[in-house]
Amino acid sequence: MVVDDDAGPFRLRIFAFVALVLFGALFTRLWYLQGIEAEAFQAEAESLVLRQVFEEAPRGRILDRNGRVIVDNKVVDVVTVDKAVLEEMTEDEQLEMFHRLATAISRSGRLTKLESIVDEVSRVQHGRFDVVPVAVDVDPSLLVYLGERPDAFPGVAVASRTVRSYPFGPLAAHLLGYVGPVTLAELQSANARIDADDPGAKMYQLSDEIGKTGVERVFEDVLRGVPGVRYLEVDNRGEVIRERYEYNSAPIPGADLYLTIDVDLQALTEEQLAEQLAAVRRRDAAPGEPDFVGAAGCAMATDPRNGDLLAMASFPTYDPREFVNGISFAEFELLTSPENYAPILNRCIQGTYAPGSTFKVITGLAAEEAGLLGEDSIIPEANNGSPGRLEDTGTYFYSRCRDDFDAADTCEFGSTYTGRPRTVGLSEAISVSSDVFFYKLAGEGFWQLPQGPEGDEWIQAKAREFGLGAGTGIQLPYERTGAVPDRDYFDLLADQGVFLRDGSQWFPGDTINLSIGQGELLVTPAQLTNAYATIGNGGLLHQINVAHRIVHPEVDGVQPPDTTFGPRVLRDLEIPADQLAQIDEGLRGVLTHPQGTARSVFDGFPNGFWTVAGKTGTAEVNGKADSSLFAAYGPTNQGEPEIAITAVLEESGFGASAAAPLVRSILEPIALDEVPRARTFDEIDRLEFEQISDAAETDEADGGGDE
Amino acid sequence: MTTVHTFDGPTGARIRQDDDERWWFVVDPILIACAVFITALGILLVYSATRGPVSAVQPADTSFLERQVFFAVVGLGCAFGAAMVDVRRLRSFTALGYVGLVGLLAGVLLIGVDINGAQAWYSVGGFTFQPSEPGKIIMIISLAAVLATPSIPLGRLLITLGLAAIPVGLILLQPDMGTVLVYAVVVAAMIMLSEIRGRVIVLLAIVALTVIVGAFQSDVLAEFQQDRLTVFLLSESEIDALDNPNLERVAYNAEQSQIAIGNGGLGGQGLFQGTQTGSDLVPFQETDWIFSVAGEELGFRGAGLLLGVYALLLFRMWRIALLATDRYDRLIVVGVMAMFLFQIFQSTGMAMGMMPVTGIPLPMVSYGGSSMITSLVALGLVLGVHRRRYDFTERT
Repeated sequence: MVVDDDAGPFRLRIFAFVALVLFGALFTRLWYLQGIEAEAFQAEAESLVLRQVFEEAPRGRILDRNGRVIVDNKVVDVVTVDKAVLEEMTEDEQLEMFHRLATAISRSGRLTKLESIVDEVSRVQHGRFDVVPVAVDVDPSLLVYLGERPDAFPGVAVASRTVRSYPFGPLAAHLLGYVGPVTLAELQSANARIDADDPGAKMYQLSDEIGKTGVERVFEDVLRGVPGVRYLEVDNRGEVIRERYEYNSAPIPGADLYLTIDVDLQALTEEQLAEQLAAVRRRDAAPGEPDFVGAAGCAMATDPRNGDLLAMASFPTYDPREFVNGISFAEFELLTSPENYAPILNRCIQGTYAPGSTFKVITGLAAEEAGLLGEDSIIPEANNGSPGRLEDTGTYFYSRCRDDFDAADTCEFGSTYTGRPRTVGLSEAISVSSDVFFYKLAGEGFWQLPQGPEGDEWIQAKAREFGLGAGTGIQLPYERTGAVPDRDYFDLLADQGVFLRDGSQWFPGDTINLSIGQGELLVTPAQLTNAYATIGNGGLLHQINVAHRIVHPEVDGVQPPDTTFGPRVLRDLEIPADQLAQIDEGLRGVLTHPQGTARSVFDGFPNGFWTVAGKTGTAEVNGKADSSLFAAYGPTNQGEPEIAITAVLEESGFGASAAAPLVRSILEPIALDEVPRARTFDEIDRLEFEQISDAAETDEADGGGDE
Repeated sequence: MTTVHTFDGPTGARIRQDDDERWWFVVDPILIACAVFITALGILLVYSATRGPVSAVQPADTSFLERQVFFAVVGLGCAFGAAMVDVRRLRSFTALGYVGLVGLLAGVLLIGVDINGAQAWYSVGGFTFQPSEPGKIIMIISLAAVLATPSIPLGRLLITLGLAAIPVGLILLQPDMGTVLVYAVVVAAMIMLSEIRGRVIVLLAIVALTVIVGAFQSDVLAEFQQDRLTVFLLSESEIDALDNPNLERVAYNAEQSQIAIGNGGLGGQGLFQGTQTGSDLVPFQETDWIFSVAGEELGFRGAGLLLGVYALLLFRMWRIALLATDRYDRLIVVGVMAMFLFQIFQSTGMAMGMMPVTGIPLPMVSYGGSSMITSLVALGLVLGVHRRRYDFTERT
């Protein structure tokens, strides 16, 4: 038998004895640590604090679709002030030291004011013991100068830091955006989204930089690297005792972002936009008409086949390099003020304009769908003799102008056409930009169709199908949606107290104005480009892509696969082929029809070899010169068009006089495959140096010849 | 409560008493007070260990605090339930519980998540669950059932060892050495305090010792486990001389923990005031190393008080075991008592440098839901035993 019936109490006493011994040992040890040896441990504890030092990882680079670097990183010298040392100085001593420092930095070549140092040091972001950078990208000679005078500059040091560099200077500034010091609000909201326990967490520290706008902002999570952490054991005097390497983690650089743009085309677009605006400013307006200010505009291009952005130029522009060393409030003010035409605005996605006649293609397609053209047209005139054709006398008289008032109330809608009465079909009406043709469709259609979104708001419905009045899905922040006016929109604005009529006061005249892209209709150049790309590719509305692919950094020697961005189709408009053919013919006629509005502009363009379909637009703006627009796609004779392009120039006159020449100047090098190679600043420097030395050699040779 | 409960006195005379008058008869208020005190102090210590550096920019991190309070509330609820249930009537379900435990332990090896090198956790909806923690209770109940059944005399010991071996083996595969040790100690204590004969136990102890010594000399232990033992056995200068970063890392924890406790001195730095604790010098200070926080912030007075209350808690459990008139009930108390004693000794001993580094939670103090709820439910079971100490109706 292995059972012992009387085991309980006796064995429990043994258990109690064991427990007593163990607890005795614990109490003894505790007394030893906290009673006997406490002083020794306290001394050691006082001398040791583990401090985390964060190292910001290099941000990912930004490259164009062909891998040319547009935004890079560079290491610069930074003058820093240790606030812990300042604590031990009086305010006067501090000011004196700052004064000496400002003088020394200025003397080395970077002009620095005393106030800017004081401001920087006292910024709330910095903690009491932070090391604060007061001047970035200083001359390396300062390192020696300050290093030799530690007594004169207590707490001052020169450290190196990685900042953004821009090999192409201000190229594509609006698209790229810029980085800046993270604000308290940004830091808290960004860190709140991050799981701090994840070893790959991209936590922010107060001195870190964050993308503020453009691609830098949208792809912040991609571009930002994983900060490294060093663990330093420091004593109570702040001296580093040892580094705990076993806990350290090295920074991991951010991923490289390849954009869909092509730097060559981008540079060409920016250059031509600036030149065309300069040409506009040289022109004189007719007496009594507003001046051609020509101060602002946008030119942009996408690939109709997949929605990739190819170039995006907004004028006036700014230099992202100004943000690298921190920007002052006054400087930022200059970039945002309306007097300067707010260079910070990206007019391609933030400027909203009446599209003018470029909108007529949408009215035309809407009319086809609503059954206003063709054999069974509900408009009697369009069904008489020559189906789908209407008479254009240059003026349209609408007898039911305000049908709620008086049936005899007639309105007059004029146009710039003053020739003999002509009869035009849809294609021709687009080519010659007949206003009356579209007035009639709008006016008669409004009369014939029932009221509402399914009926007499047929133009608005088609405009929305083309993506107007909504974001284009472009991967850029702060895009505006523009507006497609209808009764609901009037109601909304009236409710908000904006001075407009409400929906019950939507008159036929509003639809007639809308038909030629005037009135309350507002579109961004990006929306217009996308609409023309949609016509060009046969009816697929893409969301505009900015990112081409992401190349991730190696992890443990392994290269993760690239992230690629394919076409993002928003919707298929299912435009019938015959309608599309008419529109396409009309757009090609703009350049080739005897009365085509851009025929003379494209005189000499290799149109037979690389056929362009485009449309001029002239949008009236109250009290200012007209906005000049041109939207186009091409080539239409070599399979699917490969580029859709739009130019919008503010206060620049007719579409044919400014925007069309600009588009031609961009499309012609593309057609001839002669887009000049964009040069980095380094390349330009080298080239200039070579030219100067070449010139010097020639001079010498010439001189020699003279002797 | 106004219901009338029935108690059978030791003489067999039936005693009828109204609950409202004789509530102390069925509960052990001292044990409950000890448990509540330790749990409350533990919540404060967890908060101190996890609130992080507080500044104007960064408010205190209360997420650990909130969860620990939640765990404590749930644990107290479960403990109340465990005290009210008569486990003896559930003996037929013991086998089911045991099979479920083995299933969970096997499952965690397949679909569990790895935290700090041991695949011991299920992760469900933001919470993690460690099956080997509640498994301790199932183990105790199962073994108590086997050891208290006289109808299987000789087989009892072998069945007990066999039943213990399966979960222990599965936990070894995680590998979670600390929990394995807890299981081993609980099994050993329950066998020793059962009615198995003394010489059999001595024989068993000799066999066990041989196995343990053999294990240390073979390659069964993982590298980090060997490191921990090496660190425990060598002095600081000897470790430095070996120049092995893994060793230094293990040594570092133990060293920093002792500095923190020593730094507390007699009076302590004050709650939330610990400099070592505040600068996060001791890794995992909210779980396995929580005693270092108690040591630094509460000093000898506070940490000693905590140990004292633990001792009182154990004494009350011991008293319940002694008063228990039912073998099965007594073995349950013995298992829980052994579990508490070993976990307390190992966890605080490790923090004070007396024991090798092996992560074991300090009952009701260390952060973590599985451990908290398990500890409180175990106390609930003990209170249940106390409640029915005169109840002979289900005697075994």
